[in-house]
Amino acid sequence: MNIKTLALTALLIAAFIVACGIATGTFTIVYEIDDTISSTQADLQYEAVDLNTIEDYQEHQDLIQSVDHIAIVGTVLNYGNTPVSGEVWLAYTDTLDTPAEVRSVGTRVFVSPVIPPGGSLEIDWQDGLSYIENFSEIQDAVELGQFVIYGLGDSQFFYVVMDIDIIVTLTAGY
Amino acid sequence: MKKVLLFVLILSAPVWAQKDISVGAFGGFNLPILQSDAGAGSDFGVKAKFSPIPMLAAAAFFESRTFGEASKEVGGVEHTIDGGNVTSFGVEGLIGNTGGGSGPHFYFFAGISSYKWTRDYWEDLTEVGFHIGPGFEMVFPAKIGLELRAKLEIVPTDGGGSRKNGIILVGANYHIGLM
Repeated sequence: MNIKTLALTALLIAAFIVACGIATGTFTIVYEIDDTISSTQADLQYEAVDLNTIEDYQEHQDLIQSVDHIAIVGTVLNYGNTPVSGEVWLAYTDTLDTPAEVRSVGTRVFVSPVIPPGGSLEIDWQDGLSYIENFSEIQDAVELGQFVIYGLGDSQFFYVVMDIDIIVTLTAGY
Repeated sequence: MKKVLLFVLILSAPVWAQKDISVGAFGGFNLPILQSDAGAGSDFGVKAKFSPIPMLAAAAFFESRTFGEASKEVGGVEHTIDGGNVTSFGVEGLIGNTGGGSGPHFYFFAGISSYKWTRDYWEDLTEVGFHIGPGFEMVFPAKIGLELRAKLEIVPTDGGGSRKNGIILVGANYHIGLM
């Protein structure tokens, strides 16, 4: 086998590997939110998410081929007097002060089932996938790496406390 | 390498002249490669093989697979996610000692399949998959063969990546034979 044949073979193998996405892997990262997000209609709390603080994400960010799925897991508590669904809204600013501003500027990416007054909801990975909305918006946010999430309730008056984390599954490589 | 191939061919010389049709069933392990959102599962299937000439064959197959649960620890809590089910059917070409007749048969195969992965709360992943691997079958005089296969499967996905699985299968085939 001469040099040209070897080079051509290597080139074909490399082209096959790239074309079929063989040199990729699917991995899962967890963004843990240390503090709870405790919001009322008069006092919103948010979390500024920076995925670059996660080593696995930082290593692969430039090689992301697809954001495969995203789940919000943890506990949502309803401290209000009326049934409410917990909501997570995505935005790219931390200057929003009212639910109306968040709903105007942001995108709702998570909504829980209705939680009775004084009740709580435990959300596991499987359920956390099913409560995600506007997946393409949150996909884009994950690819950017930095975004802000706000915790809200879906009623006019609410008091929700969210002890949540984010699980992201990515495919990355060449 | 040439000596090894020659040895394999000599070893199985008595069966070279056999053209063959066979049908079989198999089962084994489905091992996700570089996929942290799926665990190891099982694989069962059926296939039919046609060898019109002794060194080449074509086969059609159907497989039903599972993936095991994946788990991730988040804030000290172990979270799990169901692996889901895969159905795959396709065709493959075989080269080597692919004919019938009693004795050892060693071959390589490559194929293409329709791959559908179904998981709760996800959109089904329906793609075209490709696979390659070696196989070995010992056919006994009663026309029953016991087979061992290793398969590397690559399923390119929309985003530019791929899902890869390693599959180990054992099976039994009945060789109807042509001549």
